Amino acid sequence: MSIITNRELRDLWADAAKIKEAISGGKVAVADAAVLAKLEAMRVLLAGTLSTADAAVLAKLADLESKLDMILNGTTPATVKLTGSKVQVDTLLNSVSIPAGGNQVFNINPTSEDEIWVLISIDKQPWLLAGSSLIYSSSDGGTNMFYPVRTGVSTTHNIYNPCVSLCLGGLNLATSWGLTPPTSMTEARQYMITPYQADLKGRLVNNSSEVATATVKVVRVWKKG
Amino acid sequence: MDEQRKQQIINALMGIYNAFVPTEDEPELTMFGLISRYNSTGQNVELVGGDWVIQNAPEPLKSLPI
Repeated sequence: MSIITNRELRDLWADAAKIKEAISGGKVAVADAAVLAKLEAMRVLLAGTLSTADAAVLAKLADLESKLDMILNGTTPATVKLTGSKVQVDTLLNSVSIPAGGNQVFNINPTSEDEIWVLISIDKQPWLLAGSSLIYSSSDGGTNMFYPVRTGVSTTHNIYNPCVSLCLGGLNLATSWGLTPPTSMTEARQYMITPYQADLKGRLVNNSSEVATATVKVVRVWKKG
Repeated sequence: MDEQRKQQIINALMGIYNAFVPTEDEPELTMFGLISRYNSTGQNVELVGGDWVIQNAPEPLKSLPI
């Protein structure tokens, strides 16, 4: 048996009074079953599952999951910011019927593209592709505004295999302009003038003896977003 | 173009659509394929094209791939 002094006894009594006051004032909860359950839960969390069991973290994960679901099912499509090249395909002539010996003009409608490629699908031959030039806005300024040049073409091209040329921007790369026509795509690119003129046009000429069906598409390329 | 002629053209186009058989080179009928075949018949005196089909013809013609 240990012996305590009167002073220690008074101190213990004072502490007990403080505890009693705290309990009765609601400042301290009695260690009942609910408290014990919470303590056990905390122990489990601290044992290594805290990162996924935390209510705030779980709420955030649920929120992210919901957003991903909405993006995947198309309810709220994600906004995409392009940081590289951008490509856009437009149909300028949709399966037009061009009479024998006739032609069809199309506006290329450039904006700020770095390159515009013209794709020709036509089921009769021969045919040619002409265009406007920097100094002649009519669509029959010449055939050398595109590379490769498409004149007297003796092949047909269906919708799956179009004939493709690069739009050079209006310089008529012909000897009549005092220029030597390019012999490669690398040379042709050196003559490109961009941004393209806003009123740039093309003209598809059907030199066959039958009605031709033709589709003209353009591939617009912006090198930097 | 009167309504009777319009219907004649649509009937001709539907006939082409129904007769189409996919091949390796042409796996599906496109607007280009439809008009090309119609031109080959020699009946396209109005020189209609894909835009006319979209504006005047019913489904499935108007939604053929361009």
